[in-house]
Amino acid sequence: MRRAVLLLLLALGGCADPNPPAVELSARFTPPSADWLTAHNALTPAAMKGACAIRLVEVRDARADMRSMGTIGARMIDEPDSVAWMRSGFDTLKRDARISFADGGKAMDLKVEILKAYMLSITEAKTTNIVVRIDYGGAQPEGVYRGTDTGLNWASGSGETQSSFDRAMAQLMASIDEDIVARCARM
Amino acid sequence: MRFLSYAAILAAGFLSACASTPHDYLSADTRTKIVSTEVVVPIHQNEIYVYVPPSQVSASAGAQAGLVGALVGAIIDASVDSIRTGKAETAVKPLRDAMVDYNFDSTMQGDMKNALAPVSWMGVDDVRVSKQITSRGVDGEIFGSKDGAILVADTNYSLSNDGDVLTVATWAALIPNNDALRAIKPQKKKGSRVDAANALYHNSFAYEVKLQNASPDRDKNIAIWSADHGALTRAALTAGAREVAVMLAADIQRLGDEGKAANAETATVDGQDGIVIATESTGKTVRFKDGSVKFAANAIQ
Repeated sequence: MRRAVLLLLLALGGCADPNPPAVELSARFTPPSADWLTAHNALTPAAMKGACAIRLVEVRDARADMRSMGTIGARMIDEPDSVAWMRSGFDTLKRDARISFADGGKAMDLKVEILKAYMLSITEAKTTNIVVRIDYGGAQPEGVYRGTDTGLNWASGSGETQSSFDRAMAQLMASIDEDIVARCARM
Repeated sequence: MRFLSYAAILAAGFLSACASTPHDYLSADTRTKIVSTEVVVPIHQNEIYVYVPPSQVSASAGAQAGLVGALVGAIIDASVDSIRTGKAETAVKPLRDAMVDYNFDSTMQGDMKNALAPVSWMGVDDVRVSKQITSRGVDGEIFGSKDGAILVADTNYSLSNDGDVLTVATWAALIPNNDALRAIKPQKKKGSRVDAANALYHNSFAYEVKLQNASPDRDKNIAIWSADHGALTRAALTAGAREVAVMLAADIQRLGDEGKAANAETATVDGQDGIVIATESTGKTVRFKDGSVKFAANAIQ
């Protein structure tokens, strides 16, 4: 009833489609701001810039259905290329001046596995979770990281869905960034 | 009442379970026309969640204040729901982290296969788990199936708002997929195929287990569910998948309401009266008046 009233308000009386089309997510993560992940850059001495060298050896999706990203309201959410989407998240680590991406030489190898990536609608709310496992090679213990976002489901729209996944990805990448730098410091 | 809430969640997912016909039996004649059955199990989520019931904070105020009041009330309630769900999501995170390697989907798939394969007249061909849970998605999943019938078992699992009860719930519907079966149950022209009105058989099943000595504090309850890599939750979900599959396999073979025996044990579960149809060391299976079936497990700790 409440959803119907809200839709009535938002759609100015338009009829809700009982069988709405799926939301298709972008394969490119949009960071929350231009200076996101750059907070340490001004404070990083020149000699330390790029000192934490990493190599993204592999990104794979371990989920049975690699397209499905859950639902918002009655709409399915699809991501046609989940691996490209996750790689675009890791690309943003380049913003942190302490981290560099190595082609060869000594670097920390990262093998990334997507374990969970979904949105779930619970009553009037939507919640997004992204979970990845990173294998850092034999010398370091693996890490499991989670990014989340929860908010009001306004109208099961594509824009709010994409924004929620971007916020969850931002939280995920921020925690990975922090852990990678800490691991480099211990090496 | 809680059971009704879970039924409401399922119905809200995609399946339009008709409230006036919660249960339809499969006749002996219909069975003879089923050559083979494909089983599709849409599972609503990727991880466990806390079900937060809709807020009713402003419902009465809105109702008394006309349309504008109803609109304002709806927005207030939606905002309250969002905040409460946000808190519930934060609370359940330790349990999700403890369970990150647990695969409910494959557990459910295996249990469905084990329970339904011995029902020879069904001719179960394959059991597939699907993440396509909307009506459009499930219709797409079953489109082009070569089997004579398709059993859709829409499944959901969650913790109660206080985190003291874990439920696995399934709404199952057998959809005709050949001319002989469609002649028995003519299909609606419009809407999803996976609808109670199109089903040869349908019913609801639930497995429910409570924490012994549960606290009114959700965080404390979730800490118990999370302990030892979520050992209690893993055990409960595994048992829930098995019991739901067993209840479905037994129920789909019933030819009609056998009535209440004079000495039948009765039980009241969450305010609903029913008949105990099986008793095990781990709990009781109860059939309610509307035909739905629940396994009320003994409390665990």
